[in-house]
Amino acid sequence: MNAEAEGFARFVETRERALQRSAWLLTGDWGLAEDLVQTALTRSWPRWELIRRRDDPEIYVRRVLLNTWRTWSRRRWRGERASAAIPDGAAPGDVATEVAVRVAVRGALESLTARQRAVLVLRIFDDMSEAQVAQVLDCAVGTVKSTLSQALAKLREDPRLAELMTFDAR
Amino acid sequence: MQDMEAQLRMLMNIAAGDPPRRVDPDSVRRAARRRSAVHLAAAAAIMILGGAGVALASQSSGPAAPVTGGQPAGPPRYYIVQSFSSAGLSQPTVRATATGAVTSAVRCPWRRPGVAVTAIAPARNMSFFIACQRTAKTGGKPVIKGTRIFRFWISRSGRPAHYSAVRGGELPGLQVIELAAARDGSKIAVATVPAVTQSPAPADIVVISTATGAHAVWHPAPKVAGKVWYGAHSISLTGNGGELVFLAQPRCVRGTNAPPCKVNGGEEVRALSPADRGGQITSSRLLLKQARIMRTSLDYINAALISPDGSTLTLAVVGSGQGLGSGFVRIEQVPASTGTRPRIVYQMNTGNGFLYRMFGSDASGRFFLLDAGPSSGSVNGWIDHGQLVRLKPAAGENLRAESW
Repeated sequence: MNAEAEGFARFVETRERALQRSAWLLTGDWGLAEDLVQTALTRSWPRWELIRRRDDPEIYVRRVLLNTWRTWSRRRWRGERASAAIPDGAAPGDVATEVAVRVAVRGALESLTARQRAVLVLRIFDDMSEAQVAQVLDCAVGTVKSTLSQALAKLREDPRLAELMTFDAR
Repeated sequence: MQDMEAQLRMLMNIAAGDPPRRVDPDSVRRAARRRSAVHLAAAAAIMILGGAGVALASQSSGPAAPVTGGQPAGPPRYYIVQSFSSAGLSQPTVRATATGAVTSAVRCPWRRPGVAVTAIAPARNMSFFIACQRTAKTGGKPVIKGTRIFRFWISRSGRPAHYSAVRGGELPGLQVIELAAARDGSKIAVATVPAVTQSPAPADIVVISTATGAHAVWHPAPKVAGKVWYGAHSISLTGNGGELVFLAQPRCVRGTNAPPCKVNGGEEVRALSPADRGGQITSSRLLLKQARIMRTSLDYINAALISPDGSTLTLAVVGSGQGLGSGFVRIEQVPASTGTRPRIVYQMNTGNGFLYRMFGSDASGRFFLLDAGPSSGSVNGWIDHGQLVRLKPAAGENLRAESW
């Protein structure tokens, strides 16, 4: 295996889990998330040598992933969604609790616009800087800041998250 | 990071969990090579043919194997099996295909007493849909209260994870007697009867969109004396849920003074389009008549599965053969477009009579499970290039359901 292929393999092995988790937060569906990541990596591999010379290949791959997601969202089905009925009798550490959190978070994220969801996932979940998020989304840093503020304001009012979070008094 | 952002990050971390499958670099490079190979082959073909405008055909002369689009070479790593027990339905277990070792159990995330899995259907990426039925005691007698449909994935270590309730999957007052899923998970189909039904009854077919929860319902036509009537069983969906295929056994409805009615051709494989949003099962279109490919008097089609790409019907056929000791169980494939010229995938000679319990496939439509055998006992296994490879538990009589 040459150096380029080794580098790509190393990137995939170390980053595919994180990419899939981000993709799940965007799509709400594991099958779709895996397809999204597979597609983004498949499109990136032929340009890997060029990408490698950039500062951060992760930015490029995430940009391809986000653009692909936006294209698919306009065209495709959105996958199955959990019903509003949460299984009875949730208990700490139980699978029902995990399901309840997953249902609440997924539902809350669905209430955001595509851009708000993307900024939230990249900035909060993936812990990218505002500058990095702006590079991925190809927008200004100011846009990232204002979009994040709008997303957080919306989530602060979301009843699905209200039971799971505590907010500071304002 | 602000407090709210920290809490949000924690919740997103819990919600995202662990991906059920890994993306591996070799599969990415292969996929990238295929993309460029398709483009190069198309360009080369045009050059070779000198622009004669002849379309290249990729089909063989017989029924083609279902399109898989980059699937793994071997069978699924795990399968789910549910046995009968003295207490009724046992909890399904997940077993490793290679060793038969039990890796975990499947349970219904429905926290009420009297809940059990009654049907299992596979979708892509080792995800499964399950029908969970709740039974309660009323006046000392068990009464079925209803059914809910859930979805989950099997992780690389063989453990079910990421359970979620399927939108539209709450079916109060109904029993689910069959469950099928589109490979992409966009639609599921259930054959349902009212919960109070005790004896075999004609089922409604309900196709549920998992994205919206919308139901499309097909009812059996009313039985009219002197007319042909049929119900539906052995349901399956194409990969994107665009078509639902089922088996039908047309019968004449008899009645005093009713005009004579004639049924010939034996069993039929028929198709419905979920885009029609429901109606009567008799609005289905005919794909295959049994008489075109086998004898109708002594042989039976027990199951019919449509491949994900809709090109191929795979049939589980049983029969007594031409003479004593000629019983058989046979798996055949037929093009869905013609319904003729079957290709035998597997045949088991069962001697005098046969036992047949179950037939199914994985979501790719390439790997088949079969539980069948001679009258003395059935064998549980999967079909590998014309051979039945045994799965545990080997004795098939006690199996109620199996899926992978």
